[in-house]
Amino acid sequence: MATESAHSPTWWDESFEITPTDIEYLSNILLEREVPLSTDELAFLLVRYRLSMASGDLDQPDATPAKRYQPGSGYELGDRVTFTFMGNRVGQVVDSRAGDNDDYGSYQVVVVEFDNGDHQEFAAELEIDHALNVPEAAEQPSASPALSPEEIFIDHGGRIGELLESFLAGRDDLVQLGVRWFPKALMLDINERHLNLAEAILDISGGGPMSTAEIMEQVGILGDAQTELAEFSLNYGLKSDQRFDEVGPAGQVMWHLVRMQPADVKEPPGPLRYTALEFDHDVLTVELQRIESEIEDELTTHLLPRREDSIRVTLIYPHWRSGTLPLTPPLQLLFPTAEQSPRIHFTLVDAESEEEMEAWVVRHEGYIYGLRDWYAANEIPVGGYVTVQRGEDPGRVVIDFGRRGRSYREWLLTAKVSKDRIRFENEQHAVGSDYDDLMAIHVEEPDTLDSLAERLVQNRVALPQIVRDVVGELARLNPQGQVHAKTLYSAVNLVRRAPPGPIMAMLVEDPAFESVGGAYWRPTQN
Amino acid sequence: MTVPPPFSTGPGKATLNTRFHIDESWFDEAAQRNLQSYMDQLAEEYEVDLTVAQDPERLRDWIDPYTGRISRVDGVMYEFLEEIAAHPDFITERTSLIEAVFRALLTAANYPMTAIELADRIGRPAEMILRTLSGRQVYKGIRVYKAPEDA
Repeated sequence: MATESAHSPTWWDESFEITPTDIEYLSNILLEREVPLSTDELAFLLVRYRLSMASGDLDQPDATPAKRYQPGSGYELGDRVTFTFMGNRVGQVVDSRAGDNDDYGSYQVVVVEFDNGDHQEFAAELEIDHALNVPEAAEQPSASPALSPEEIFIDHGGRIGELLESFLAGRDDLVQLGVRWFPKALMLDINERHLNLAEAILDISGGGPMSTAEIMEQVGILGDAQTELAEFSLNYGLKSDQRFDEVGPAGQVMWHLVRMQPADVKEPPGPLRYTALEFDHDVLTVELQRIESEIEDELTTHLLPRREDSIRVTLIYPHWRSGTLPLTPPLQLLFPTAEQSPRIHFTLVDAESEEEMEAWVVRHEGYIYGLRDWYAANEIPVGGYVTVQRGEDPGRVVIDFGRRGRSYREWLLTAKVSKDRIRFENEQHAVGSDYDDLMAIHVEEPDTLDSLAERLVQNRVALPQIVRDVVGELARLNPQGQVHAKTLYSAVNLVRRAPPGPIMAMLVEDPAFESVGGAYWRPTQN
Repeated sequence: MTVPPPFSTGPGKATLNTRFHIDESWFDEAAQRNLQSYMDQLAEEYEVDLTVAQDPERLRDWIDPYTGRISRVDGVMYEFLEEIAAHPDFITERTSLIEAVFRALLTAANYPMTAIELADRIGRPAEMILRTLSGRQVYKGIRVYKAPEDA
């Protein structure tokens, strides 16, 4: 065991692992206290437990101090060795052999066993220079002030909680609800009558959402039991019944009837459905990679979260059509989150009119639902700008668009379906918001376009063929026959959901296209 | 080359203790260039002739200059590690993240490494590396390492 390192701050981030003893200790605490505890509370208790274990180990007179690993030093069988580059992980020398490479001169190889059974070989008694060989006098003093459980929890609680949760989730004798855990054996009995009453209450309230306390008050059940335990037990009963869905943001338990949720919340709307495509990201030019990052499609896998109070999104057809917004990593920090609930109910607020809209975060499928009427009412086109702003409380998010005072008729790329193919023309249409010139598209008849998209799937028309068709059509509208990569991305998404990466990789790899500089491409001339 | 079992982080998603390596089978599945062709390209870039390696078939020790860890490698890999991967500009600040991770794994003879160990070698945040490598997209065959008994 490497418990002697628990006082080292780096050890908690780099080497800490959950053991069966830890889980047994925490289970006993839950049984003794008879109160549900959160993952954070359990993680803090675990830190305190491990620190006391580590201190106990240090008190043992026969504990052998571990040597710091240096390739120039010699080690005996049974020696305990600390590896600084592995977060002060400690292992024990269990075997050795002579070195097998004359280029390094004379040296030994020691086999080190770690506490997870892992065996690794390391150089020892190495006479040539090595970066890890530091004279003892140059080393930092090892004695550092002991960290308190609170200090360790503040710095490393997130990782400890994450590990703990993955282990507790595998325990049959524990119940998890939101972030809290409780022994199954101590739960109050929630029967079919309780659940039927809860369903009736939610039904007459439009399906929800309602808090557990509101349901308990109206149904009048479990009145004699300890409130916290009664609420936890009812929550567990509701969670175990497929009629109910927990839809509250992190820290709030709110219930909704599944059958009364919008269909596009229960299943992704057709235009958002995506079949993952393998492609070689390395083929993208620097310019195309820049555009890919700029677009911030939720299906692009390497986007990073960033904390901003306001983020602008450029609408693509699948979201415009579905009344949704992409839940990209940057946007995730603006919308309510939850520990477990796959769907979260919240309120969108129009920045100008302050009109409130019922909306949903659909976490796993990566979209926000509830904007179809708002897009239509404000004449926001495909390619229009929508701004999402942090609200005053986590359950309310402010939404705005590039307002113009009134709508104007402007020349827009217009998509139509003719002879079972997608066609484009430049036509004048009323537009109520600012938009990205390269991505804006007016859609003449969305139903017809969606039918075409379905037929393309049924006829197994692959993305490369769609990209070829769309490039050919778009090039026809331009005297130079050029197509911008962003326009292509927006246009392809009219009939096939795809992130920019694979579309742009096809531009580079398909000999049917040639670059004309920057992000412009055209059909190959000869 | 000896490779360890992954740290036992339990079930769930990749963490900072999850090890990554270059999975050579990915190149076959994805019909991509194989690992050797990347090494050949780097050899050309650094003007090193790997075909003149002594005893190319014979396994020997290679000592990782960062960790002192021993890997058993053949003559061609040894030549690559000593003459190309050890070059001071093999990984620079200008190297893209994926390319830097790929090269860092090569500098360790493809010894499976955690995001923390990779961060130490390429000077980028471990969290950023983890997020990039944990996505659905597999870049240059870099995947979570599974010990043979888990594979």
